[in-house]
Amino acid sequence: MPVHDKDYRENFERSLFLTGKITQEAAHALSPRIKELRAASGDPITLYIDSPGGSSAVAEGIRFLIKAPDQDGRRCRLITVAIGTAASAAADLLALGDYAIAEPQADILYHGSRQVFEQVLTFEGATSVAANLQEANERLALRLARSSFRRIIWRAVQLKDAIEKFRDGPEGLEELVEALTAKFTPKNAILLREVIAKQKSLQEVKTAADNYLKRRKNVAQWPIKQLEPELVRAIVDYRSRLHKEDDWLLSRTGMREVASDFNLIHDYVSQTKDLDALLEVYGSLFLTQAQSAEFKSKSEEEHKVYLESHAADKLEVLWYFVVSLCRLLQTKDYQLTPEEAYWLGVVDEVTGSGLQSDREMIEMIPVDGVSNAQA
Amino acid sequence: MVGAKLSRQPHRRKAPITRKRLIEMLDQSLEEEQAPSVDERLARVVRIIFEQYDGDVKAFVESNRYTIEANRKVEAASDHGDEAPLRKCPSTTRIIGRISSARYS
Repeated sequence: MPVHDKDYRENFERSLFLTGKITQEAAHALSPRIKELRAASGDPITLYIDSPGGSSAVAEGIRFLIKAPDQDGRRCRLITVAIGTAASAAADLLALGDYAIAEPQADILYHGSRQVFEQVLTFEGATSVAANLQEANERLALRLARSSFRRIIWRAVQLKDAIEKFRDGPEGLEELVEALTAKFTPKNAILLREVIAKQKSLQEVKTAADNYLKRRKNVAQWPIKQLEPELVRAIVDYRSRLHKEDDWLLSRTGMREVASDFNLIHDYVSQTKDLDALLEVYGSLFLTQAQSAEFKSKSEEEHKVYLESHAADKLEVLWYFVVSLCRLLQTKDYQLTPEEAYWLGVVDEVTGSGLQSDREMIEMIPVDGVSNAQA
Repeated sequence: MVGAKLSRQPHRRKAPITRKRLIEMLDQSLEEEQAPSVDERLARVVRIIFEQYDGDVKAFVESNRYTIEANRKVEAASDHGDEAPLRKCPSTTRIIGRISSARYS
């Protein structure tokens, strides 16, 4: 029988309840128990959540307190469980659990950062608040993307036919997302469609820029200072060709379009840098059958290089999809069922749903590496 | 409405927006999470799926679920076998307790 793994299971004995609004007072009430649990052992701490949200800063503070290293550098794993409402900052906290569980009755709501003001607002103040909100949204989105990405990989590989197409090449992403969209209510499916539209325009402009830059010599060795203006030229060239029948001018809307394309590519490149660790672990799941056979014939040392050349582009595209998705989650209101939260990578497991989870898979493989079921 | 409410507030300088502190915290957590750590056990699951199931996650999960269920059934069936009454027999202490309560009541 499968052996329970405490790192992936809720544990009432070592638990905390975050109910009601997330305020400084709520954090103060939880702090002694957090310290007590951490002092008792380094085992995971379960955080049960039923909260309409509140301060993101306080929610982050609670998470930090649970996960902070002790004097020996030991950190407790955080297991989050949505038992009722998990909205706004509480939804973020849920997703940021090292292992996140949603009970079937849970209600998960996402929306962008908000700021309540009690003071007179000047233009300068409003501008600064807007910039702050945008910055907070962006960082929250990136952090959410980092915790969701692993989960999305597991969702993607479950979509059987679509994953086969995606293994053939990154252009298969659209079909993969289409298959994912089928898991959502029409209202929430819009979210995925918006992401795919953005992804498409990125892909088009990226291909055009790649083709333009290919004509330049040794472009890979160019310093960024030289590369950026050339990229702008490539985008202007692409946009001019795209609008050759229209009355399109840079002085009208053209410059804005070029700037938006440039930012999109720049963002893509800067976001897809640090995927090495994930590529090493999950890269093999993105190889076609032929590539898998070739991969298996290679030595351990050659594996990394092989994955870089055959799986990295797919993982990059998927990562950018997740980043775009998480950014959109921070803009409008999205009310998610536990199953939708599962397919979006917000949670790892929905209890009683029969959906496969990391816990189930890990418990199938006990310590000796032999499948528990086979043993 | 909002404007009217705001205008009734006294002019005073409040502490800077806590969101700034949030951004600092997020920066810190992003730095920590920059290189996402990978659970070695999950990595092992991936290797098994790749090597033994040709990357087919569903096949891995379903075949294991099937075997676990089959094992469970075998175990349940053996509970109803010849040895079952012996295993389900109440402990000696409970039997003695019952005897003594019958004798002395």
